[in-house]
Amino acid sequence: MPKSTKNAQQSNWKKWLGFGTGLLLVVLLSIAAWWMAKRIYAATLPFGIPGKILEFPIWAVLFGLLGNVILKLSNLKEFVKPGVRTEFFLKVGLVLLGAGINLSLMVTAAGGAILQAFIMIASVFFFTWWLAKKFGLDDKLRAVMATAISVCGVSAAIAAAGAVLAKKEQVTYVITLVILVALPIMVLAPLAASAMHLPDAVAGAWFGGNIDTTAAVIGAGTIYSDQAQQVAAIVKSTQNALIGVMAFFLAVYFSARSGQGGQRPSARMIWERFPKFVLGFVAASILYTLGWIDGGKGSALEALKNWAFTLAFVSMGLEFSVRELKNMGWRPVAVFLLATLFNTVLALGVAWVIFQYLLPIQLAQ
Amino acid sequence: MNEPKSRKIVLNEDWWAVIAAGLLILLSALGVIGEGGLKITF
Repeated sequence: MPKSTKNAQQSNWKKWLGFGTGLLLVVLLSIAAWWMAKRIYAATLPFGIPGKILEFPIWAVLFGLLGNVILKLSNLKEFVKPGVRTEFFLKVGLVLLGAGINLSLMVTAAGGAILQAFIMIASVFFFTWWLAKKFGLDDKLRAVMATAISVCGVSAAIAAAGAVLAKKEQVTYVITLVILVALPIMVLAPLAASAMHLPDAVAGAWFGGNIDTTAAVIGAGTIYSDQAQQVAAIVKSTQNALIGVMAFFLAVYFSARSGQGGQRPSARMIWERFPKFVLGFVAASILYTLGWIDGGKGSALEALKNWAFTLAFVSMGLEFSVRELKNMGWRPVAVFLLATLFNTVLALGVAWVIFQYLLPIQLAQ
Repeated sequence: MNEPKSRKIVLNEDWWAVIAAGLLILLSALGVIGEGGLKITF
């Protein structure tokens, strides 16, 4: 057997072993997080704080971060990486979430979700684009960052980077910032919403329009209420569905400017960037509305959805890394934080006006 | 003469997630998972 073939086989074998070990680790940490959430849920914490405010996404991220530290110390982080699939687990969970949402909710929320998505994407994209220029950032980094904050975090950053041919380091910078900022917002936003006594629909729409990563949006919604989780998922999925359109316009813009564009823009590109899990989400909701499947409260599909989300949150904690930020300098961080602040305040106002006054929705209790 | 290219279908992660969730939904609809089948709770 040629030496190169043997090496390739060994590398493949190592990759599969890493995949299996990583997956097992994610499952074990998820079980630990679930066990902890169950224990704390019924307890009363110091100062009379009810344990149920510490919902499972918080424990899952904490256990993921703990696993992350152990992997880092034992130099095994790269080895288990193939089995740590945040996006995959999250998308499975989102399709299963659709299996418990009545289509009438999706249809009534769609108008507000689309209106909010267009207002938020346009305002936040151009604000970030303008602010980043003021701070002297490179055009491609501006494009990736503005798309990540205005549309949907990690996937949007990758789609935008493909459209404008951004450097790999620029994408890594933005993805690191997205995850770093989304984690605390996932916990703080529901607390703030609770302090402001926001209705479930407004809170869900706020999380969906404000928090960058879909995992953190679902986490915040889960911490607040089941209804908020459903609205947050619908609003976020609507924004996610616009990734392809954003990538298309960016490619057109960068192609027009001295042929810098990465890909020739076309309708095919919009389809390629379109998040296909949204189709699964809608299809599952149709089946549920027809009464063919049961993904409602207390069903096995609801339990599987929560397990899928727990696997995603644990993976999120395991993937977390701050190393890239050290090389970044303060300017991109400042732009990101200011744009996130703008996004948070604007999303609260827009969600409140749309879902409380313009297009309110009725949620089943 | 050029060899004809083999058209290998590559599914991205989104489609794999839809397939995995679809399979779970199917198993639940068939009663393999849930009441009377494999009980899964959270």
